[in-house]
Amino acid sequence: MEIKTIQLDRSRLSTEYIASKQNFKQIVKCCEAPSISPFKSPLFFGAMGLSSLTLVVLLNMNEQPNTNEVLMKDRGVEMR
Amino acid sequence: MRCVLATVRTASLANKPEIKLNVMTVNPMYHQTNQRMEEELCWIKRAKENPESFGPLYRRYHEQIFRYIYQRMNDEETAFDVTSQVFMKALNNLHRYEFRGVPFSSWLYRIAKSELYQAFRDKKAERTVNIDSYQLFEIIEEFDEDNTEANKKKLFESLSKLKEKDMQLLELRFFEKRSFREIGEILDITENNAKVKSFRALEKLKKIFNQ
Repeated sequence: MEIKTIQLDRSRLSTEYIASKQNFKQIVKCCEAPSISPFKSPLFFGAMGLSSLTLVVLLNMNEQPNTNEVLMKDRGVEMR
Repeated sequence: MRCVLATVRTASLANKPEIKLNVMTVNPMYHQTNQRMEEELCWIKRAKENPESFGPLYRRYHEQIFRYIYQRMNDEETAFDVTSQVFMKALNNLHRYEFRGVPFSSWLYRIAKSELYQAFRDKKAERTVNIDSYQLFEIIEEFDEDNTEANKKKLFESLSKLKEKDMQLLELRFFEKRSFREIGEILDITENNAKVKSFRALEKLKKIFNQ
């Protein structure tokens, strides 16, 4: 960063003048809009993660053959 | 109103008695009592739930933050804009604020510093140093030189040759009379490091002044 100018004895602004420039309402208004997108919130990721995990577990359970059926087939026993 | 700072000496400073860094006035505006800090913590807690409760903090620090910014730039309107940006950012990030034993103002100053340098990078304002004549004379006294107009002019020229990082430390310590602790908090360095760096910056200035 380069220093462009050095000013000597610049006139001092009064406290009253600075106070007159306060605008708290504007600041609150600007901050009222949600700053974090709902898709980036930890709650969203948590819910998505949990539902994905449940889905994977459920799919795996359906795909696995019944162990009794396998054993019976191996032994040549027919199921009725 | 100014109070005298207790003697400050680090090992490295003790060996360099030619610059009197140990006795200096400190602006009491930046010092906070425990009661005031507790009061602020209540406001912060309320403001985290309702942004409207940030009002007392805004009114308390608006002038301080504005003066910090305006002291370092040339344009008044831009300084007011950057000040508003600082408070907007503070309010937006208030949920991240954690009390670590330092005043809330230190957190605001850090945001102000970052916003200020962003404004310089965006070319919204130019880095300016604003000094009063009495501050120049104080530094001349620090150097044990005579308070003459010639020395004032010489010091003014010497300041223009100083690097921005050193100037920043001199501004905080000698022009704004901040404590080393506060300088450390603003620059995110330790108190001891702030002492050493301030001393080195003053030494560099003295070296340029004596050339």
